[in-house]
Amino acid sequence: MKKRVLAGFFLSLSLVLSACSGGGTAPAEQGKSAEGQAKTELIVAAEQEPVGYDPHKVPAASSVRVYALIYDSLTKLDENMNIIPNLAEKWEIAPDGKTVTMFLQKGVKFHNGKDMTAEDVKFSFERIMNPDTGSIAKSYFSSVEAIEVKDPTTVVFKLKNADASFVANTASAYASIVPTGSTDLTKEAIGTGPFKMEKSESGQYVLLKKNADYFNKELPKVESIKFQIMKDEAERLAAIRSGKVDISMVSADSAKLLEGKPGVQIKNYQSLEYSYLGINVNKKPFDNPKVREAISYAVDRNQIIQTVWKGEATLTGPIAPALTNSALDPATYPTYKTDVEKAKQMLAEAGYPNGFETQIETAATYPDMVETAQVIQQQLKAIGINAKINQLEWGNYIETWKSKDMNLMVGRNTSGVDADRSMRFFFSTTGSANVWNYSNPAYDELVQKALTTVDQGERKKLYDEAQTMLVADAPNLFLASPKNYYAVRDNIDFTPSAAGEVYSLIKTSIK
Amino acid sequence: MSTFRKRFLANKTAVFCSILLALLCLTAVLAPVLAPHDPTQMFQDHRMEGSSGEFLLGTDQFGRDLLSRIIYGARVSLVVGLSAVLVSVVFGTLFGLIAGYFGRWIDGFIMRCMDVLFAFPEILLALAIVAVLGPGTFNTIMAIGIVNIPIFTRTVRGAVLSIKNLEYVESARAIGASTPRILFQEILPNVTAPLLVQSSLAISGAILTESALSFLGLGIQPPDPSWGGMISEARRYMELAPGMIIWPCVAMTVTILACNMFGDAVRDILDPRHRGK
Repeated sequence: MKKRVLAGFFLSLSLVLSACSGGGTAPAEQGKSAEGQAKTELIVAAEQEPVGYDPHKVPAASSVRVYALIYDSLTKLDENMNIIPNLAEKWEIAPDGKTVTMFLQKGVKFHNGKDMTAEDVKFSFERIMNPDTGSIAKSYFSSVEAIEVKDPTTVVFKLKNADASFVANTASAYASIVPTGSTDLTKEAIGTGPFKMEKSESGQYVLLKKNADYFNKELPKVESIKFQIMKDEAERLAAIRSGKVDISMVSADSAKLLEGKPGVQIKNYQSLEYSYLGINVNKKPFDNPKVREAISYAVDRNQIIQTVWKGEATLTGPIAPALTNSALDPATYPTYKTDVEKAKQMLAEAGYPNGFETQIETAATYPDMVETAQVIQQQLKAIGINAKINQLEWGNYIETWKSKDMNLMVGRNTSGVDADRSMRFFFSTTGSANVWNYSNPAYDELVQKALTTVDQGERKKLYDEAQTMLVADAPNLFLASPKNYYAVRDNIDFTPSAAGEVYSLIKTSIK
Repeated sequence: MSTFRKRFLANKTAVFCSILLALLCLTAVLAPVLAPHDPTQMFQDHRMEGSSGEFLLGTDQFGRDLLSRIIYGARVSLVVGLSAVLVSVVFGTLFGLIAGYFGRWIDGFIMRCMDVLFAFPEILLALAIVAVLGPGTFNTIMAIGIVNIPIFTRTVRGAVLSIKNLEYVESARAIGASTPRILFQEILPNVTAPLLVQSSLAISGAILTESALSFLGLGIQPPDPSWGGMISEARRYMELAPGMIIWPCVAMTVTILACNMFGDAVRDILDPRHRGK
């Protein structure tokens, strides 16, 4: 209660403040982009305000898209989900899989002029693995036993066991390399990345300036990037049409509207995201697997795809279909077949012949989540489950997610670039993002075994088994993996891909 | 009272608006009979359609019948509007009577508290209250009710101040009437006129605030139809299905206008300075 009172107070305070500061910048900005002067600033519409820039602490997508431009990780992924060098120019894995040696790029400097060395890498990983940091990526590196600095450009990771996803995990923005001695990264953001933090105005914009000393001399191609905060889709649409912003994520509906409009191009890609219905397996009546199975039979995923995503999404399991070599075909999951009668019967077997009352929590800021919640609510009604929808303000939503005390919750996850993240990170008993109180020793064992299996064919088999088990246990219903749409102005060379916005933004140029 | 009725019937605006409002109330009460469909039922194959025989005003993005949603939305708007105003009237009258009658430090204390509430913009205070209580119909009513308490407190206090020293109150006191009797039987009936005017104006304000909260997703929770919530949802489909946003807006405009004009008309009738026009 106290928290809520406090939240209420800050909400009103922030409203007062934003009312005071709003609208001051618009005229100046228009003046700047006047013709005659070559445009060098890329303006990106941001649908959500960043909530801090500490890469080891803040997992919110609104923050990642900014700090991943400021910091670099050891490796990164390309459009096809292959691991490619970044700060580490190459790496070696010992035959037993227990030692990984990373060779760093030479001459990389932080934004404050200091050299980036093996010490910084060691410091960064130790900071991530320190429980006090509370890093979301801690579980990515749970297999790391020791980190040794061999020389200023060589780091050796000693692993407790072979970890097939270790190198892929170093590509995560959550595993960014920060300067040695960093304590409070909320106040300053000093990385090695292609852009430097220039200015951040709460509720208005975040301005990043090009890092002239970036180790890849050819990049980035623009002088600065400005994230203009526009929470409202209609506002973003108007802005991209008028050319006030250059790049904006848009919904499938808006993409249809913008198609063929002069000056704007629509680009899409199959995202790594999926929407889900989270179920708290500790709460009655959801602690009964039969109830969860009944819910799975009651939910018609195709209706969600048609209604919420207008057909522009695909069925998904716990691993998004964009990860083609790990994802299991959803057709193999028996509970994906909608069968209201069977669902009713299961509910009766579980001791709820007349259904029950419950709540679905969702975020008011994301219309797709609110719509998904409404479709699910309607479908659950058919088997007697009366769910009340609670749309929460974003901060409140995150708090509820963390609380592990929700009933049902609609949300969206990024499946990650490796099966290990999709599986262990979200659903193992100790997984950092397992807020559903799901704990199945057999599942834990499977994903742990998959992690230490270096043979890819064997590994795939284990993950197939784990996916089937997870869908049957249903701590989450995996619903749909949408295509993501970007509206891009004609004069901007921007190609989005599943590798992420940052990967594309760095290469973006203005024609 | 008969003079009031005569004047009321002579005032065309008042009559017209009260007929409109009566129709609206009737719609709200008879919603289950009038609405052609269940307002939350989704017709999968009829998403975002225009007007047709089956769906008179078309459907929304889930394939729900817009006409039924607007009819049920009237219910939500009126229930929230009336209950919220009832909350403010009850507490506002109580505080106003106490502050006005007893005066001195009680008056000072109550009115300073009201000043604090008054200092916040209406919607901001309602938002903060909802953030604390959590979203939902009951909490929305409470939030809007609390926000409007100061206006009623002031209105009643002002009326009490001008009445409490009149002879009939003096004489009631002289024959030994108890304080509650004086407050509720002697003074209260004489503050009903300003209270009535204030209430009818406050109802439209309350309906608007409810819509604003629902628009932000913090008021009435889906799938319950609320005009504000419908407008908020429709905004994304404005160009694909304009009917989705137009009809709830029309319903809302008519209701607010009727409430406001009714309030104005009642004030004209009751206010001696406006008489004879």
